[in-house]
Amino acid sequence: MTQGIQKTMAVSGAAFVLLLFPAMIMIGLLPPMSPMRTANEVAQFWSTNTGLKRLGIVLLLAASGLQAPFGALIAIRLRQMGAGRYSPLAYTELVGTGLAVVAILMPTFAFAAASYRPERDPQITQALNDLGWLPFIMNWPPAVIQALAIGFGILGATHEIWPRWLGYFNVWCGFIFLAGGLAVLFKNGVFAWNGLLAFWLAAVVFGLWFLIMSWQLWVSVAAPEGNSVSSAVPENEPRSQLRQ
Amino acid sequence: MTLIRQSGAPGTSADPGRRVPGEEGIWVFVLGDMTVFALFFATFMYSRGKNHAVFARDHAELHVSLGTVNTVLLLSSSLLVVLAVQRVLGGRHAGAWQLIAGGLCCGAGFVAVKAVEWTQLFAARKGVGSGEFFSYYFMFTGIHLMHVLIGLAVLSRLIVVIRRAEFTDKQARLCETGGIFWHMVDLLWVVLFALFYLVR
Repeated sequence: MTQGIQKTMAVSGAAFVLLLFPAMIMIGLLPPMSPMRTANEVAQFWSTNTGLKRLGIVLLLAASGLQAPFGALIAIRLRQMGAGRYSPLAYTELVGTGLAVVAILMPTFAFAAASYRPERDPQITQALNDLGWLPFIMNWPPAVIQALAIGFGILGATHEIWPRWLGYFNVWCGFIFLAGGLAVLFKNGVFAWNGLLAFWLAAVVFGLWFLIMSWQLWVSVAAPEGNSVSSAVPENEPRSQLRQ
Repeated sequence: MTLIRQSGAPGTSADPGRRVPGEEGIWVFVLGDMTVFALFFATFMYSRGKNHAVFARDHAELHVSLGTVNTVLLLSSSLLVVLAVQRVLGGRHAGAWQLIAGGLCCGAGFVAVKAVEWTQLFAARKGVGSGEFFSYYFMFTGIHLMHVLIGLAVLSRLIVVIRRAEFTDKQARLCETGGIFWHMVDLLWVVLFALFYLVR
């Protein structure tokens, strides 16, 4: 595979973040609304600026898919780092990245439905709003699966491709990504879906994680030694043939 | 898990006065984690400043004695791990695993005391939803408890590593790294203890 395609896959992680946050601003998800808002206030929110909001929703949907090539290239790196004939951590990463796409898709559709009929009963719009916000903030497994798969992959690597601090960084990110997981228990305070810890801390670290991983993928593509995708051994061959 | 040494990392014997303790990468985790906990403490103090009367009332419901026992347990545990790491770095790793096992028991004691304390609070109808003070208390001590459990897994791993026949600089460095994590868990608890149990 050409370096150009690999580099495109590497930057797609950064591109995801650079589309995600502007799209959230367009929709009005950033800064997040309070869960304490009444049904009428929520309906009022979704019935103003509908054109811009819907455009933002379309953009958010487009952004979500960018995680797939990015995660696939990470999975290849995990395979190259591993010693065994099979690469369970790489598969874990692939599952994580697939779920991460869904983690954006699912709330996007709920937000789309909320903005779709401004004239409807506010109670229904509020339910759709909750159905968007709760998975958007609570859904930690996709991110944690990826962070831990990468973290353990790097810390247990037999072929060093990435620096070890990146492994510790990923484990730390995995811990931060848990912050939103209890959002359903709170309607205000720092652990609510608009809270300092559940939203702001997790969002900042989430963005940072994509930028740092994109950068490290880019560096690994540019590195001269056997880092090209073709250096991963097919699973029906012994791993000892891996060029090292 | 095979841990490889970075070629650029200074060896344990090369320049003992100047090298970074443990593996360099662990400090990314430790400093990151401590930054997040600093944010926790700041938000707690901010909310407390806004709602002083409620926080003071709920604070009276906590058992300071149980918190104190836990502080003593974790501090002793850290001391035992320090002694163990000292032995390991001094090349006398043979007797170190018993010290770490002692530290592990203290850590397990911490978990048991926490379980008793939480059971009592739950029985008194206090939960994560019982006001701001208790939501902070359960969330922060819960997140810390998760760190303790991970720490116990790390200490168990160190015992296994030390008891193995092969013991090189690499394993010594691993012990030091694990020790650093455990001391961080201890340090965070000391601040949590002061914040929740002592500050009036």
